[in-house]
Amino acid sequence: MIITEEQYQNCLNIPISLPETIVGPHDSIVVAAVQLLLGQKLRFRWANFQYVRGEPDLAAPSLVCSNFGKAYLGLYSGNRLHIPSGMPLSFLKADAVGIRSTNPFAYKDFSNPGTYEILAVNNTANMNVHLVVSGCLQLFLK
Amino acid sequence: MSYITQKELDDRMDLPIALPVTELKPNSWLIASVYQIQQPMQLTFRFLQLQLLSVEVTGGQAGDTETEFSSDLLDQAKGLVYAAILPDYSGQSPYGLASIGTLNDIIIADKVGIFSRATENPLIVKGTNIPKHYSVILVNNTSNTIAKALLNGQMRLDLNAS
Repeated sequence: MIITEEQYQNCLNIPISLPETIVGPHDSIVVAAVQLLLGQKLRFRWANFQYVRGEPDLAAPSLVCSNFGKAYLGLYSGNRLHIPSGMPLSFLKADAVGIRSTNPFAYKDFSNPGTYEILAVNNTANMNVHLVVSGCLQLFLK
Repeated sequence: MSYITQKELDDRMDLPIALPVTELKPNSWLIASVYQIQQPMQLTFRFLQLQLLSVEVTGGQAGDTETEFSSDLLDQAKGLVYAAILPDYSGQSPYGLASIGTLNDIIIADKVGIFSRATENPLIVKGTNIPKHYSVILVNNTSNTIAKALLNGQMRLDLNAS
């Protein structure tokens, strides 16, 4: 099936980009935010999340949410945006130095109107973490 | 003229390389973006701009500019500040590490201004059986200057390029 100019114009790639940034204990950064309107569709297509290092690099830091590693990238929607609740719609977690990616062949679509945010979260209470995020949201206007 | 299908469009996305103005201390670097790919994915690197806004000599005299001092370059071939793509980079010192592509794929700023990658010859990186990641890094290539720079660019990902 060949796409039309209209279909092409209605598909937007929204960047997710956080160059290497230090996130403090208990803290988080909103990396991207999209307000979805009725009839639109948001696709969480691909995200790469790198935990570069911790300062100090503790093997067993005090964790805020026990199941989310030292740092995580979460997609949130709802009323308590800007605040990592520990209940993201989708997430990538880092227990150690390295890079994690979502599977771009098994993406998630969202069509409920509202604001969606991607947060990079330091899940420790006693470490700074260096984080990098790169990826892409796709917004379908119709 | 060829046409693309809906599936081909779905399998293709443009990924950002975006670093707002950032101050880099002497002998320092940071990761601007990172992409992990494997078969059958493919990255196409075509467009990247590096803007060097200012260079300040540490320990220099008031009024010094980047043309009036002898900067201590850590890698003589790569100017004051450069951006490059490193394979499987994990945050260690990038000096001496081999980047992918040719010299055309390293964006070098040897003075204040905007420096762009030539767009005619894209660099194509194919995924392998083992996941491999590629990091775009920005490096202050001196041991005696503080540089303010920004990066803007794009990486195209084809999910099913085989």
